[in-house]
Amino acid sequence: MFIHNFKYSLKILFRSKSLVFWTLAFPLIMAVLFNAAFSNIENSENFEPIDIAVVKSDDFEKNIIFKESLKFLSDKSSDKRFFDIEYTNLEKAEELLFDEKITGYLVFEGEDVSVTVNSSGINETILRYVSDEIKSIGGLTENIGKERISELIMSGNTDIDYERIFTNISKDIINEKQNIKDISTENMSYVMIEYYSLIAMTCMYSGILSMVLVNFKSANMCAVGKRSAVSPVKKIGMIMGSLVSGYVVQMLCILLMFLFTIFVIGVDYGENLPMTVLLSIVGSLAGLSMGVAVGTLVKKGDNAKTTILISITMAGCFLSGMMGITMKNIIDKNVPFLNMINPVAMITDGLYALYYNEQFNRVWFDIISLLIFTVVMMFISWRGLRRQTYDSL
Amino acid sequence: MNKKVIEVSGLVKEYKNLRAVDGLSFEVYEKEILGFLGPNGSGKSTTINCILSLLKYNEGDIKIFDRKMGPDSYEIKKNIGVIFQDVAVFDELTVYENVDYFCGLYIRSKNTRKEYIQSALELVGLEDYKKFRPKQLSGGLLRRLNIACGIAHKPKLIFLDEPTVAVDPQSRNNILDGIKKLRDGGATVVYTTHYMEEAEQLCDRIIIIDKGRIIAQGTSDSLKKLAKIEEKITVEVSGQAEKLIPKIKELNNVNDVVFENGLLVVSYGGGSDNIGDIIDLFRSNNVKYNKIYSERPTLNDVFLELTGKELRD
Amino acid sequence: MTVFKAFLKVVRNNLFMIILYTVILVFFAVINVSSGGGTSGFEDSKPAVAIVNDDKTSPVTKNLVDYLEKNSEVTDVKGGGEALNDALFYREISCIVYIPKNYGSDVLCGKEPELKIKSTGNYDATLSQMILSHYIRIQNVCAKNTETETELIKNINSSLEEKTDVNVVSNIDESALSRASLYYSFASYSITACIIFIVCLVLSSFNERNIRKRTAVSCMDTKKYNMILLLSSGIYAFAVWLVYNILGIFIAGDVMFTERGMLYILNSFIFSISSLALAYMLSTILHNKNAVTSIVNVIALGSSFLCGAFVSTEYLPDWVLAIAHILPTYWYINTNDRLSHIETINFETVLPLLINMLIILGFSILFSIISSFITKKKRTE
Repeated sequence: MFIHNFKYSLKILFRSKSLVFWTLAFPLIMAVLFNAAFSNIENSENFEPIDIAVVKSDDFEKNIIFKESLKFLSDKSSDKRFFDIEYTNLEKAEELLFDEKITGYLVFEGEDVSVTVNSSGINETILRYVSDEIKSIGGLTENIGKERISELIMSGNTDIDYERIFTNISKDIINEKQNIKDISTENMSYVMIEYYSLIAMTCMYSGILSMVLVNFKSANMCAVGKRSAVSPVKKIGMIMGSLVSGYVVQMLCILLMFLFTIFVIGVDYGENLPMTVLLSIVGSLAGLSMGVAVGTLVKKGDNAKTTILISITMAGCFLSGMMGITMKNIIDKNVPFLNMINPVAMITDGLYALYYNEQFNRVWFDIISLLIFTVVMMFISWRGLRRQTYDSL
Repeated sequence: MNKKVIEVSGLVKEYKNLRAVDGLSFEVYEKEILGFLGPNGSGKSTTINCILSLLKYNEGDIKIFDRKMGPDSYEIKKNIGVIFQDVAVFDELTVYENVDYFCGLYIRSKNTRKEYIQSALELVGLEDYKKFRPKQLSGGLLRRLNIACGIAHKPKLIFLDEPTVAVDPQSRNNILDGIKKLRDGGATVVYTTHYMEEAEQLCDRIIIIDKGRIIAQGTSDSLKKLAKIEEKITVEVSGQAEKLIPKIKELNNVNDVVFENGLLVVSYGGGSDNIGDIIDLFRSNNVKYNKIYSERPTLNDVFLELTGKELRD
Repeated sequence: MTVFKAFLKVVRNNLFMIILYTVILVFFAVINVSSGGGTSGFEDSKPAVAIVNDDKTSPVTKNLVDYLEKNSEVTDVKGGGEALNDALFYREISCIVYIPKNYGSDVLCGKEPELKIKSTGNYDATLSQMILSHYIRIQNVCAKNTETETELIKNINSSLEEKTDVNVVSNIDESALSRASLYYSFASYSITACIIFIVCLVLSSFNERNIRKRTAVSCMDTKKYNMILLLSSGIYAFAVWLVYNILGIFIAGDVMFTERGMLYILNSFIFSISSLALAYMLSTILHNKNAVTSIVNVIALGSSFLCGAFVSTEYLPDWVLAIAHILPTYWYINTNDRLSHIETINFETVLPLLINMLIILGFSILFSIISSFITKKKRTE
């Protein structure tokens, strides 16, 4: 009997256009869209040299420290390049700034330098900092130089090459190594959160499968359900057969989803792919159980139930960062309670913890949360699931 | 008299503010077709659903095959086939698969099932549509599929809840023939309908219900006796007939005369050659008429007599 | 009137979905306004930094911390290590600076001790790293040339005092404008979804064959009937537009009462028309309510992702933008983006916006032509 139900549920699920759309086609379409929208975002997030202009003048030519520093900072062979510099006249610089071709330009007057920009912003601030730094270096050079020279004079040295002393000092300062070690992890791509929420969404959409399957066995939901109810088979047995088939179909969708994102879109799930798969297997269970709950507890048509399931899932996805990545963090920090009841967040959080810093404790916590969610969902629908006789039809 | 298959006593089903079934008691005997006749909303489907344990009921006892029926009475359910009012099939499965699925809930052996499905499809005349999906079938064919799904496992007791609603005449005849064949094959049939012609044509015994109560039961003929008319003669009058009415009333066996829209309807409580009397009367008074015909009373007349309202609507 | 009532009934039955789309929009807008940045915040010139200080007693270290507090947004992340890493991942902070034990005294000895950092690698992080290395450079140089703690601190601070004058030439309030643009761009998702969803549901159920037949023989003549349907959809679309603009005024504020604000409002109005036309076209093709839900989601999400409603167009790859040109949403968002950048409102600057709007109207006409073509073809079948 189990196999009979299983076999026919499989047939029904595979042939239902709207089910195939929601559980398979829609996540794949979303994956394509994500790829379109996010493939570039992190490249453009990385620092790229800032376009600036320097107004050429005699004062600039005299300002050796600035001249040398700017040359150093715009050296194309260096990986620490900050600027792409255009040396030009004031008029041209103004024009470039107006057309937003450059972030700002430097004007030298006497020993002083000023920066002109369009508005305040990060690039503008970087430009100002660099200018500040060069000025500080100039000041330092001068102080140290003066000391050196007075030391030399004190020691009776008369043959002093002032310019060489200053140049050497400033070179020393510019080349001064700062002992800063970057210990960031490589897995910083927060676009991954998008793909994680997508996996979570796919997991939750399995609810549509189980909802339809439960409906088919419930006399108070549809005509087919009545027919099942008068048959000499225990309802719970029939439902289990169908649910297992729903789970099999869901596993297939998840598998296709992984294959598609890995091989077609080129998503790198990191080294913990097995754990990632485990999370989505458990996540699907949670989705399935949510569908069972909506199927048994909500007394409305199939369409309304599908809408409810999709809405709950989409709201969950939104809260776990699908439509704006910062969302997940905001919820994590301010309303952690929402994460305790949002299965989508449990899945994405587990996947995130795996990817970012391999916090297995957190992953297991999420897996257990998902299992608890599943048990709760099944518990609240248990009475409805077993029920074969009703107050009204 | 045959064995009792169903025994219902004192069945009461109340919805919030409606007593849908009000103390029904009746029996169904082996190998008969029992008609459940009543207007829409009279409680027919509710009664069937209570018997099948789909609905909880407030009071009463239901026994099937001499055993108490409950939601877990799987031994009883094995021998029951149900055809519901709404078409209950899977759109995603073909005709054959649909029948196989539902039959499979009763019959485990694949070979037996094959045989049974074949005969069910033949019975309803769908053997040429095995690979069709329900959406490709016309309304009538869909109803037939609905029936095939309910009876493929060769049940001993079959419930049919208005299986012919919105069905073309050809399909309807096919369905009614099929039901007779099932009875002839040894099944007991409970058939609900609000079409009195169907009940008359098909059923061995009829229970007429209204507002959740049995108002009459018996064979078609015995019920018609309740109507207190034996014959109804209708005359399509083309001339002046008003003056004839008092004279008609004086004729033998006449119960009632109604004249409306050029139709004169005379009800008789008995007698013979009543139509001759009427023709004589028209001729002798020189009143012209187009057609004149005699009818036996219908169940509608019975219903009208008992409740004061028409069966339809 | 019966038609309109039926329309309202569908709206009422699906109010949940409409509210959901709206809540998502408001949520998104409020968060982007209050978090003041995230991915596209340019107004923030003080990068957020977290400091893990294991050398709290040294004045030298304290001077570094003071400096960072002055020049960056030092953020206190509650919850320790894991929370710090999370904050870094979500770009809440751009950089974590770990100050080791005895850092101050090691500096004083000229040991140049190691500072560990974790960074996100984005613009903010570059800036914060720069702020830090600026200080370390000076600290190293000064440490070589000084002996005492107080002298070191004094020298460092005096070198840091060098500041460059900055002239800002443009004076438009980009932050308020980018807020309005963000809101209106994201609203394209909600507007498309709400209008297409409901109008398609209503029209496709009215178009269902048997209903069509029934109304074709009913006393109301077909033309009038179609007009009423169209009018009801129009009223609904107008209501959606109105609601989103009222929300817009709440979120973007005074900007909405300027000429610029009027352009935002006009733009969204024209966009609503095109959504309505699109919905009308879809309803002539779709007959199944299930299909409506699917198509609405694909179209609303698809056009929003491809045209930059969720992710600013500057981050989208060129091939995506090339495809986006065939969607009205692209032109709508393009207008919004331009509006936040143009400095003065005059004919020359507004002309490209008007052209965008004409293009959207062109799309609307195209959709209408296609739908009337399909309807005609169906009627002759």
